[in-house]
Amino acid sequence: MTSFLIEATDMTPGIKFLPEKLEFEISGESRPENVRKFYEPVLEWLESYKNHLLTAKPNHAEKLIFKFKFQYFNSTSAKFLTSIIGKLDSIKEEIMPVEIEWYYDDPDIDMKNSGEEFSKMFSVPFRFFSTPNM
Amino acid sequence: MKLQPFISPATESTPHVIFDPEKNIFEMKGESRPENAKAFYDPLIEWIKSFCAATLEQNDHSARLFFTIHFEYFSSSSAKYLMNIFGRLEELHNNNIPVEIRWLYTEIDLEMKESGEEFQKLLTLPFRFEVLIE
Repeated sequence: MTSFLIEATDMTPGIKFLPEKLEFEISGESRPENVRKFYEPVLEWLESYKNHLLTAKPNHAEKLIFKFKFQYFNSTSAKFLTSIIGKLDSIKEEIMPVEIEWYYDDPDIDMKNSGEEFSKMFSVPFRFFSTPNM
Repeated sequence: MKLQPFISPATESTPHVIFDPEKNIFEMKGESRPENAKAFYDPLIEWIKSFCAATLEQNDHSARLFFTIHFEYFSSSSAKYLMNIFGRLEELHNNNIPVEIRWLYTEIDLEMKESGEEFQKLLTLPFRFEVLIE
């Protein structure tokens, strides 16, 4: 599977999916004008990645680490993040260990709370990291 | 093969569940605090998976599917399974199959309304809230 990379803009997050390294990261701001248009290719990529994993049957000792490093996301973006986390949840249930790392700027408790809301809704484990000036 | 209805009578710790596609009845009602949430919800989720796969295959857009949810209480581990169910129904919605959650709560139980709103915030699946006056 080839990598999936999108440069961050003022309105849309940077996407860095490196399947060879099992490293996945979404970072920055998410307030796209057309949220569906931005996130649909991301979800489609994850779906084909899941299908790839199903046939590749990865080693269970390996763990997929997915990092969320948001400064901000709007409420419509949240619904698409739910779909992304849902896919990760299903990879964890069906294929291999997955862990979500949720980063938030040190004083940004709202961003931490948003991550905690997601973690309550899914069985995939979350780890929280506060970072000064992410 | 036709999908058999899924029926599980209420107990003190588990909700009453009827999923009957033939009659277009989909209901969960009561308490959800199973001692072993996985044991209770796994068969239910298996059923939902088969139902969603069959519904996508039939691709019938004419009938609107109403999932009526009326909890007096659900535990935090139950919430993760509910999210899993809603995520699967959202797939139908994303494929233009009309599906809607009817989230019922009693007049005095505003917390249950808020719990429904938490799900609604995280999903594109449509929610309709109905208050029951007792």
